[in-house]
Amino acid sequence: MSLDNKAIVSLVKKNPILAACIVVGLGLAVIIYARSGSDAEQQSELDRKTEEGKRYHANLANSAQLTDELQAVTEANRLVRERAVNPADLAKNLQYFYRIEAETGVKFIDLRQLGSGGAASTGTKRVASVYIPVNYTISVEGEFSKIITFLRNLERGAHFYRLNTMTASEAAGSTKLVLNIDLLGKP
Amino acid sequence: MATMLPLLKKPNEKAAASLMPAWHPNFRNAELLPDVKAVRTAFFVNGAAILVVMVLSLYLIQSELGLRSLREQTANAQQQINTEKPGSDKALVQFQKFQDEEKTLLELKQFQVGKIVGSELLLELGESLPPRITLTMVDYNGPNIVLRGSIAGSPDEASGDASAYLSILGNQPAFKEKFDGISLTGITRNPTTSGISFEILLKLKSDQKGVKK
Repeated sequence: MSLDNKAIVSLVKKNPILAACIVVGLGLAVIIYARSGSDAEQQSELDRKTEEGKRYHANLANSAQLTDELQAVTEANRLVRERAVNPADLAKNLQYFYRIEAETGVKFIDLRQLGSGGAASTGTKRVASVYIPVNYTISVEGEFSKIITFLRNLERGAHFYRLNTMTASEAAGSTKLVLNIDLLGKP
Repeated sequence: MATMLPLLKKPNEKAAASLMPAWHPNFRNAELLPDVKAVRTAFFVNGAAILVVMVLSLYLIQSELGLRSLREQTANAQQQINTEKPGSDKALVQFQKFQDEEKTLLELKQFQVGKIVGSELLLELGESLPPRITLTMVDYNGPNIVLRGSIAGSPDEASGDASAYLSILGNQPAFKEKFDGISLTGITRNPTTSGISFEILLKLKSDQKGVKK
């Protein structure tokens, strides 16, 4: 064994450059081997972070008008909620129709609030959760032009309106109108 | 067998050569002779070793530089994330609120689907009415509209007027958009007058029942 060592030492002394190169080369090879996976890992991390950064950047770019839009849609909803009727306020709700009656000159034969939640509505869908339909039947009589004005006032009135059924009949120079409608209501 | 052996046996050439005397005596002492090699073998061996080390070194340097560049880019990306993440998170929260508000607003739209504009319908029917025809009832019941009326005049003329009125209704642009079919479903002689009574059915289009145009 010592003979082998002596031989090796003698060889190294005889070829110092070659020996140094072998040692350095082996060291370099070990380092290269040890770091061989680092590039791929770093590239993978860079790709992930770049993608994440792009997503955040896109979110920021797309939300440039979001504050204004949110404000606008919130305000619109506030206005809609203000215009929705409360089914419990029966007198106030009927007053709305009586006011239209007075404005247009038609005469109510019958006016009833049937209920809310769409159960009494015919052929209409119940509004999901925020609003409910409040159902009314209205019988009204008057001249044709006044009936048209009455309908227009309902259609463009303070409360949101939906027509379920309508029967208009003519008798003795007067028009009779029977309506089944829903007003947008708050649950 | 014994006679065949000499013929098959190959003669030993080495033995013959060793027996042969040298051409001339070799007086060269290799150890004392000067080295006449212009370039030593060790030079090539050392050169090759240095070259290998240099190639490995260059490869390692290039890898390290690439890795450093990737680390710098990753750090920049992380810096961008750190800068933009709070704003993005805030935007996401706002967008969630926006979606909730939009959903609420869409409920209003859903509420108004199926809305037929009653005043418009009555006015359009009134405008399309020929002189001798009187409508006594307009009944909108969701999927259909039924018109009932009377036509003055002799029954044969009145029947012609009823058909003509049907085509007038069918050709009205507003009705073409709204209705799938317009048909005469009843026609009877009016016993009190000399004219006839009629009934017309207007079927609303299934995809836009009552949609306001």
